Amino acid sequence: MSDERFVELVEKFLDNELSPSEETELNKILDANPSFKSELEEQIKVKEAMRKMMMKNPNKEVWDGYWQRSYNKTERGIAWFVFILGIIIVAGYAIVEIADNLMNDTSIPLFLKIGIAFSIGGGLFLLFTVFRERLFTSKNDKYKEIQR
Amino acid sequence: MKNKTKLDEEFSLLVKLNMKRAYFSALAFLGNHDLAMDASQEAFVKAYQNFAKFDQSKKFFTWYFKILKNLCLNMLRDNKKFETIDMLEERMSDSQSIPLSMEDKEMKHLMQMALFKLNAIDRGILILREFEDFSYKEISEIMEIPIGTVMSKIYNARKKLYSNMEGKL
Repeated sequence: MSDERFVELVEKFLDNELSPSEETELNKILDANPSFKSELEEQIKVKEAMRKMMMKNPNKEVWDGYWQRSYNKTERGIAWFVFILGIIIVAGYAIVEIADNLMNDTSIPLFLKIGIAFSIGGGLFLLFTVFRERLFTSKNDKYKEIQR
Repeated sequence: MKNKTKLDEEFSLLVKLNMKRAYFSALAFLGNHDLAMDASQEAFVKAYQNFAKFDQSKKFFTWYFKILKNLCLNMLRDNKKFETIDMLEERMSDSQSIPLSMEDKEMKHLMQMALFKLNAIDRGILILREFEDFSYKEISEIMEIPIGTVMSKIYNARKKLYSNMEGKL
């Protein structure tokens, strides 16, 4: 007799689907292995407790517009993506233009140009590190399973 | 080849037929109403986008479930602020509408806590079997594991659940 067979017989027993010969087989296993009896009792208790419960069903309204809402959400997601992409392109262009104008402006002293270049470069690098850290944390956070 | 309107109608019907199973399957993995709703809907959208590739001779839900399971596991991996909800209720017959006793409420709470100590796959399989009445064969198909393994997983999940409930049963 393998544990697998015992498990199969227990599952059938819990579902009231044991044939008479299987019932005899299960009883023989239980007689020969007293520790299995307590395991079977545990299984029965859990099964009984779960039988008294069910998953909560959301309200009818939730189901009425289910498919339509699915599509609306996707459309909104696409719209956000396009919007943010647009902002990044415009902001990027603006930064390049501003930097270009400043660097070509002979009336601005060199030390100020260097300062501006550092500020822009530093800001971009800062954004990059924040993004990289968030990406790393989301993949490697050991505590993410903890409910807060 | 079917035209788009016909495909849309067909898919819309499939959503109606499967949306509750989809939501409850996602809830079994995620334990959170909003995330389960998002996951089940997103999986339908992905299924819709790839519907032309779906082999009509196969069961839709089995195909759909693979998309859903991956989404749920990704959500579990990525969601740091993860809150579970009160997802169980007492099973009542139509004629019975007695409010829950304190003991029942405590049992329900303990059961939920114990369920969420199980790993997502074990919890999912156990819930699908016990609360959603999926057959072993159906679970075997959607999870792509042999029936014997499904039975063992359910058996072991019950064992862990019992131990997680610290003798309160």
